[in-house]
Amino acid sequence: MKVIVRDAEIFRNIELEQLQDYMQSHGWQFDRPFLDNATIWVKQEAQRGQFEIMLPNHKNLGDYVTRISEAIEALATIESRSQLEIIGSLISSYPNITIQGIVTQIPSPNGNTLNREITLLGVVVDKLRPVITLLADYEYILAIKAYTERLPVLCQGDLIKENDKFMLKNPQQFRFDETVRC
Amino acid sequence: MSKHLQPNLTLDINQQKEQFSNTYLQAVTTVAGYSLYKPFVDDDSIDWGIAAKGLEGIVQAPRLELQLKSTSRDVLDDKVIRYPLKLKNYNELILTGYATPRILVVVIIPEKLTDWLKESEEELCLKHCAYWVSLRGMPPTKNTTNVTVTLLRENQFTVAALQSIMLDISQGVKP
Repeated sequence: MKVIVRDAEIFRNIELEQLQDYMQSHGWQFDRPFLDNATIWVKQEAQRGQFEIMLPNHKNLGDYVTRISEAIEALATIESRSQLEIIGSLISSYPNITIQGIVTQIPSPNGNTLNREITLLGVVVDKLRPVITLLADYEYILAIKAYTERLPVLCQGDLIKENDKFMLKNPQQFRFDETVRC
Repeated sequence: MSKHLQPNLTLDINQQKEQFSNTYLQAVTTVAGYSLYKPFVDDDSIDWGIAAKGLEGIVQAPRLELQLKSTSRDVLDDKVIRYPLKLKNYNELILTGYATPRILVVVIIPEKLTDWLKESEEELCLKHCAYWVSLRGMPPTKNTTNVTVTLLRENQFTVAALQSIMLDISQGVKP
């Protein structure tokens, strides 16, 4: 099944530099500016010909989301990959996201301190990925219960990618996911 | 028998106007040698994009995006068309911060549905005419619902006009 992404927030959170780096590493080259606020990038594919993609110049443009979504759609067509796969390799930060998953790693309490980094296995854009977050006190105890009883959980926070690992900063509302029955 | 030929499946008049103006735009764009595309659904101030078609259906520059409106109201003056545009649309069309330039196209359609098309063996004529304007850089307004925008009657949205706009864009000149 071909999944078409229509969630504007996802595209808004794709950084232009990340997309340009991705394109350059996949053989795309800057070709020319387009009017005041965009650039045209091209890629020569043997036997298929020359493809073209327009990129906006900065995030504040009114059509940033539209242009980024078009670029991802075009890349997916040209590279025969899914949009989700491409977005998955481009997302490096996603503020105020809710991660749904299960707790896969949880260290024992350290002395009297009830705060430790736990690992959730949750869906980030296109697939299950480990997400590390620091929980304390009541939420940490909930995480232990979720881990031992294999209960699915939800947690809100700001997702960022650091050294190829996803971290959920400022975790809030860590809770059991009552919508899922195991 | 005849009553079965008039099922309740017909579009309402506003949907008919929308489809008719889409068809008008499609005809002009096709003859001008460009293709139409639907932009991302999130953007409600843009109905269509016009571009050169590249390989495998991926659009190429030059690019132009537009809001398409239609009306049967008496909006024609000697020299201009005065069209009441929703404030939100106006506010978005006057901005300069877009990668792709934007214009407003208004299709004037006869009031009576039976007058919309002139059909014969020789021709299929779509009535009446479309006009275009770029509102980029126009001043903000204190209006609260609509803004009456003025389109010059000489700015007909014809094949030649579209080709000229696209040529200008490809040479770095925005409409």
